[in-house]
Amino acid sequence: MSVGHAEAHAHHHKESFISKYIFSMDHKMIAKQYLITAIVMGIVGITLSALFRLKLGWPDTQFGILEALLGSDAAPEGVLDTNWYLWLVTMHGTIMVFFVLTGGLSGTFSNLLIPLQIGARDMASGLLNMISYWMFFLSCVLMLSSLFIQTGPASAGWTIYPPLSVLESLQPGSGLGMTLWLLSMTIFVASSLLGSINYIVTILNLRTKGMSMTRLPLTIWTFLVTAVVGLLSFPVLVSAVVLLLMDRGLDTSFYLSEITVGADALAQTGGSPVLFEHLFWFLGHPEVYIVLLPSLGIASEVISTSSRKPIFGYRAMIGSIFSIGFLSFIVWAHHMFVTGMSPFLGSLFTFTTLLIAIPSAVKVFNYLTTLWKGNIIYTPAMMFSMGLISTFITGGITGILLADSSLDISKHDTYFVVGHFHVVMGMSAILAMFAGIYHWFPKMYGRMMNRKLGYIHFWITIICGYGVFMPMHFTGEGGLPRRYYENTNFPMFDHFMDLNVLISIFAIVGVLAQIIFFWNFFYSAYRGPKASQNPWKANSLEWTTPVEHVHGNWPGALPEVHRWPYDYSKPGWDVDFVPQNIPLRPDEEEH
Amino acid sequence: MTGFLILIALVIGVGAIIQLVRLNEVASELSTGREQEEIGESENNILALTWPIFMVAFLGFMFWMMAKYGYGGLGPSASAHGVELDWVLQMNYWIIIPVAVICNVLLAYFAYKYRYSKDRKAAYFLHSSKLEMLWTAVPAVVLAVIIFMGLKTWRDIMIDSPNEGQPTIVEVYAKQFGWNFRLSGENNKLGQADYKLIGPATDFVDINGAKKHSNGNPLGIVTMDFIYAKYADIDNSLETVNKQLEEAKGATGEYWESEEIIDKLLTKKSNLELQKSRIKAGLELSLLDSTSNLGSDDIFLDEDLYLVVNRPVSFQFRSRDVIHSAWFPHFRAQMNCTPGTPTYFTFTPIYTTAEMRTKPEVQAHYKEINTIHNERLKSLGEEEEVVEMNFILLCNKICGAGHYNMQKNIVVVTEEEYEKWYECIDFKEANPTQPRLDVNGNPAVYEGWRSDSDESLVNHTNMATGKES
Repeated sequence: MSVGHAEAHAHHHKESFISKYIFSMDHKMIAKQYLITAIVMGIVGITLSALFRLKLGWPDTQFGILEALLGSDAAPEGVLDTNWYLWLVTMHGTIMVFFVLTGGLSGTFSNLLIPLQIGARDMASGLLNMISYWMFFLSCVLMLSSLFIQTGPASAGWTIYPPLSVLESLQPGSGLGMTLWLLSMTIFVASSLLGSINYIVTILNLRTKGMSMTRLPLTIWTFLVTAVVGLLSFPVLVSAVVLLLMDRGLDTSFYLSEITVGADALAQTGGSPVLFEHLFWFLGHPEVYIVLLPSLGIASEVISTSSRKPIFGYRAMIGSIFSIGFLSFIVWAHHMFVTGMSPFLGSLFTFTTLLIAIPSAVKVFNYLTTLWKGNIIYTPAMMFSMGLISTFITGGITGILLADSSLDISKHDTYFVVGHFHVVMGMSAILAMFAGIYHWFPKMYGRMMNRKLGYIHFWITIICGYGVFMPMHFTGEGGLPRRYYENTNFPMFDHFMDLNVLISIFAIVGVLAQIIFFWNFFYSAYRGPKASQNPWKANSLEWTTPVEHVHGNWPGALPEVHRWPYDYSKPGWDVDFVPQNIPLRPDEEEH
Repeated sequence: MTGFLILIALVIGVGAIIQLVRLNEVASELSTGREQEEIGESENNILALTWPIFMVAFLGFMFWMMAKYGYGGLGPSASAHGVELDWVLQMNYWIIIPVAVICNVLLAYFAYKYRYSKDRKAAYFLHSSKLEMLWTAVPAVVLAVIIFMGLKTWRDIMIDSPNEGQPTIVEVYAKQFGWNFRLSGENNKLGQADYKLIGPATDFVDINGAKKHSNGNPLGIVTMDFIYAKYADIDNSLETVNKQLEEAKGATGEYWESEEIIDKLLTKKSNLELQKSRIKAGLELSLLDSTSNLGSDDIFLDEDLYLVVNRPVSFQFRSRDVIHSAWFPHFRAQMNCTPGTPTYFTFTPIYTTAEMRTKPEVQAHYKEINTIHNERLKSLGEEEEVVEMNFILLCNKICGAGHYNMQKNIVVVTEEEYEKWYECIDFKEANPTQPRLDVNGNPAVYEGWRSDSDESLVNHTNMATGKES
């Protein structure tokens, strides 16, 4: 009876196009929606960077393409306008950090993997999940719409420090463009909070039988800590944004004091832009780890699977995820060493910031030890994950200089910073996102992506990434400030001219190379060869679900978990992997 | 030409990608999922080999850049604290570069060495407390050293150096898009400043009824003259507004203009009146004591700033509109300029500009700069010029459209040269409400650094007991 009933039930719920593809409450569909949205945002974000790199690489060349693409307001006679340059930079940062690496990364992989890897039918609340996605979508639309308004979108840098972001008379983008930015970000934060609550609740409550916390894949641990960090830090951004809106609209002066516009003294006094910096970076720094932690989680999973070897130091990994999550809250003012804050605070934040290097070092050494004596299969996902280890090392290590308040005096806001955070956060997270896509594509679409194109994509991406961001460390050492429209006004920076050309070439080639990925992705989603159930021979539960998506993930009962997810090459087994749902043998010990 | 080459490169690139894609399309029709899933051992070997190759290339690229661009062009630190800072930076590099290289090399080595082989099984190596303790403890110890060095330097820069010697006081006032300076004059003290006193250049009547002209007081220095100049400015505006309101009245005494315009004018009027009363209450009445006189010898400067070698200079930073950041790369000094909140930074220049220019590495570097610079000028059809090393101040916080071009030269000179410069600055242009008079009413002559006053920023006398502490 029950079988018949289930069939009838399934038939009854034959979904319409709208409920299946648009207002879907199924976590797998929502994950795909997040991913596609993030890819679209990513295309916009990287294209913007290619456009301003044209100006930075060849300051004296007129690019007809800019005028053709952006209009004659933006690039009269092919020379980029200064305000347009600033908005390109601002929107590149905003889109990449929030919409691609936060919304895209967490949204896609938390949604896809949490229910599948913990053995749940779906998220705790499908409705909240759907609302979360659609708010994300709305915020993307608002953000993109600001690109098309007359005065231009927000152009005060992605950190939108007031008073520049408050006074339209000082910066045209701080008019309607900034209003849209603030609205978009508020909705984005709401979306992210709904998502975070859902992730936390789901992970804590809906684990299947036998799935104890210490049997969770590291991906889930990182998603959990990320969600908690997001939940605690994002609301602070909203409060900062609301105060900013009030300063803009209601003549309050939370952030404004003693400002003269032209010859007009503004009435607002008593506020402080430094307050905004504190509020912003209270989110802004944890944000770095909101981006980075899921990346490390994805890498852990892929590295262990592809090395056919258990992740080394599982508990130490969880420990470092927690320490990084905790420390991320008490380091924010290292972005503010030169704001004139108390030297004592500077010392304190130097200390806490450098502490983060310890759990980060533990993670790196654990990854290396996981590879040691492994049996590595180079799937595209593995290539990207190895790339992440490299960028995490290279980019992380320069952070030690920036964390040092005294050294930061000579590095702050130079290209050294740009190079550092693009390598450690931008590249690492992007590489992890690609790793995740290549790894779980069969799970998402039931098809395989083309492997060879994946390798080409990987090598061009990492070579171009390093090619763009490593030289920036040198221009930064030379004192070159970031966000300069052109560097030719200072003869002292002239010897970096060819380096800037090099950076721009790498940047443009790197951006164009992503076409390979986009093509591979969309083509494979429809035409790729059909995947088998467990293409990478992985242990975690998502590979026990059927290739064709079913509502509720497992057609029958939920799987029961008997072991941790890293039983690769376990002695006593002939195969080199033992999925989590395989019971322990009578004489077998759990790791 | 370059544009054309890029275009060709783009076309070729796109063409190549299209071809690749086509090839792949054909190939993928023949392939099945299995083929994409299972990586042959020979293919895997090649992929494994790409890692050491990549790493050699990457490290080679890094070392090539270090050789070619490692000398960033700033030269040795031109400030006392910068020498210590540079040393700590060097030490840090000696720690982090080997770590980064070793870890990356290990990654590539493992990538190749432990590539897949059917005949081998990966080690089932779960954890090792010893190893994990090792790589928690070693980074912790190394970081302790780094933190110690960093905090000591930080303390020297931020806390100790402002308290040593007798610094010259200079104010940096940032605005969109440029820098203004304020020299502290003969008394080496900056007077009060208030943004409300900034206005357009105007004629006014001073407190004694004498007619004077104000340059608009771009720094907002508080003196009675500037307060009266601002009153004059407000009164001018009020008069205009009143006239407009009068004109907007018909014969019946009712406004014929639209309500919107009238409202705007009335708001403007009340704002102006409010401004006047704020200046009266907040500045004129409360500052009538002698402190307001500190500002009368302050010097507004809109050109290169001169500093004396080996004499500490204590900067006060303010901003007129948005956040700027005063960045002196050669002096390894940086401080944000925030509207409403003055900030401070002290450093001591240790080389004059002339000394710096004669340093061999600087000379070699500027020879190269001149070549590159003039090549560019030639290509633009402009006249060639000689570029010389200059200490420079530039903006390092995004501040709007002109952010990329806020620059002023800092010229470091000997005391004699400084005196000459001080006496020759065109003060008339700078601060016209006040003829440059010293305390005795004579034309100001810079008399060098007064030896009788050995004040540092911190008073070393116990002010409760009056004893030296």
